[in-house]
Amino acid sequence: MLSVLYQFLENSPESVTMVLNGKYYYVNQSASELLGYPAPDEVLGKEPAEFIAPSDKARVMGIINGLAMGETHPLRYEFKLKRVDETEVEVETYLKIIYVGENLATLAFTRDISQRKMYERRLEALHNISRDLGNAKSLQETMEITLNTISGLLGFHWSGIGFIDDGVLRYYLRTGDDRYGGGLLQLNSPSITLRAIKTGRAQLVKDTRLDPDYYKPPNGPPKAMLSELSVPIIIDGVAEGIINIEGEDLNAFNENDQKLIETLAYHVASAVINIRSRENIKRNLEELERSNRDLDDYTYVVSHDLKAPLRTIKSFSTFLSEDYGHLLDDPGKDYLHRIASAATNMDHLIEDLLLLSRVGRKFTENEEVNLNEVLEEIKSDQAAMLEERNCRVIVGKLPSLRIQRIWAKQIFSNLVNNGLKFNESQSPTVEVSCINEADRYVFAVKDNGIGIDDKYNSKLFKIFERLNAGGKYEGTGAGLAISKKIAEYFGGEIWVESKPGVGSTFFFSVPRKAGEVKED
Amino acid sequence: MLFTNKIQQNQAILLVEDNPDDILITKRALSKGKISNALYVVNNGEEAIRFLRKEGDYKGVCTPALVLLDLNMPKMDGFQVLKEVKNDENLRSIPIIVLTTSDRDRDIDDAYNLGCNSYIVKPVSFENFIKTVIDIKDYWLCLSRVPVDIGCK
Repeated sequence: MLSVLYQFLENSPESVTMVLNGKYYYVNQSASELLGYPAPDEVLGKEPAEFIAPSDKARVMGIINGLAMGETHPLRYEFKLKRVDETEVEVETYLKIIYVGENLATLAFTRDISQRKMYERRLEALHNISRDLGNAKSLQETMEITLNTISGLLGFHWSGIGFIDDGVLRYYLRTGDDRYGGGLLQLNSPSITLRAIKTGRAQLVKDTRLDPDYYKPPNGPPKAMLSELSVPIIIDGVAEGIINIEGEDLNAFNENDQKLIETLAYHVASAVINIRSRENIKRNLEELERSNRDLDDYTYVVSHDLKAPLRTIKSFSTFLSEDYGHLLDDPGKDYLHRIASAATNMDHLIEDLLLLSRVGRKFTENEEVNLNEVLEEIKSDQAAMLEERNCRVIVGKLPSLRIQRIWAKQIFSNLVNNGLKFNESQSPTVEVSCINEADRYVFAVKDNGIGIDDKYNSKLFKIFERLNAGGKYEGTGAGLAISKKIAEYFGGEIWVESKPGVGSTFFFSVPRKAGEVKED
Repeated sequence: MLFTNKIQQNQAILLVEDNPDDILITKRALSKGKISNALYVVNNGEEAIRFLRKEGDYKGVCTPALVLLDLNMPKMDGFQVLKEVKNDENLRSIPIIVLTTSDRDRDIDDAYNLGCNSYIVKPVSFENFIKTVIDIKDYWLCLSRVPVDIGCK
């Protein structure tokens, strides 16, 4: 029975050792192989400290000696074992103190966990890289993150990543000693890397001497590499790039490595798509801003150029009327009058166009604006008209905002004047109020005017759309277009609720974060 | 006019303007505004500088008490005229009033930076134009005193 148990111990796949008086007293076959010896005999009598990697020696010896002194330590711990050939291997070990006669002996059950550790590291690296790539701002950053990850995980001397650009493969290299470089590969060259791109499949070559496509680029590794693994980066179904690793030894990479690099390539593809869509959005926004600015500039210049001939028309029709008016009969005077009033009308149109093109030009700074004061100003500007038409402007409590005063006054003035102008009540009344919402202020300008049919809502805020043709109400129709542009300039929106014959309420919003005044 | 005095009535105005319509309009506005000061007209910036320096054909002309300067002109524009005049120690004391269609912020800033004495946007309607030239005359030729060496000798 004992001899069976001994056989069991001797042939156990688990490494078993017993240390007595600081020296190996028993070592089974597995343990001697783990330490790098063909047979247990050669290990007996040596000290365990010899076989602990320098980085872990103090910690592990502390545990072993501490246990012998009766200290409490975790049963299981991990460390790096230093084998007789100086290579290191990660192990976990379970220790047990037993008595052999009078003496304390340490029993150790040890297991090679380097495979498991490698997978743990790969898994962690994949988690990290998917996070880091998600934050990458540029292709260059994406490539650096990828190469650093590969280098950290595989430690191979040559790794590269590249993308097809303008008919060539532009690649970026990292060597084991942190040197970076780059290069170009013509797409018609023979190359295992390009074969991966052409086929859209990973190429795992365990002996490059047998592969007719093997190609050593001039600025690549100094000598021919015997192993190569090339994995395409597939973006929207097209192999646009490559991750390539090369090793000096035969069989340097296996199918697990291929899976790892394929997963990386997948993450890189997502990162590239991410970066491109961010760049697209940014470019489109810039283009939109630029074309809006151009349009404003254009409007501004054209409006100005229109003013000079307009001044001529107006002035000379005045001169004509002053100097030769007595020679004209009534239809002649009427014609002249029509010319003058059309010119005046055109002058107002141009002024409104100019105003519209000025909204959004940053020619005044934001300042703290007390909107109740602004409304008082508007009322006092219009005092004569208000009295003459028996109008009332009722203003509720309004906040102070950090905005451009000139546009705040313009939008309120436009909306208040509209409410009074398109109004046939005996006592035209406009009420201005503010609704505090969670993330924005909503201003309401409510009138008892003629109201607007819903079907005109879409036309209402467009430039020069007038719903009331034929000169019944004065104005160019630009007021609401200007108001809309101001509301949007403030970062908000403008809209209307209305009932014909009852009145309209115009609303516009200002986001709190755009206009908030900090109250100290 | 309250502030008018004998010396200042002799003072000349130089109009720098390329648009013939605007020249006619300005002339008529001055006459409607009963402004009897001599008016000289040049059509571009180069001519304006030669006038002020009394070069060539302009030998012996008055130093104007006031320059009304348009901005957009061929050859040398109003900004260049301002630069030239305000950097010339013999000329820089002459008041220059920019009278232009542009109310563009950049133009206003640039003109003042180059040393213009006043910036006035041309009104479109003739009635307002008359008011504007009367205001210019009242302020610059009557209320303000100009440097003593200006005028017709």
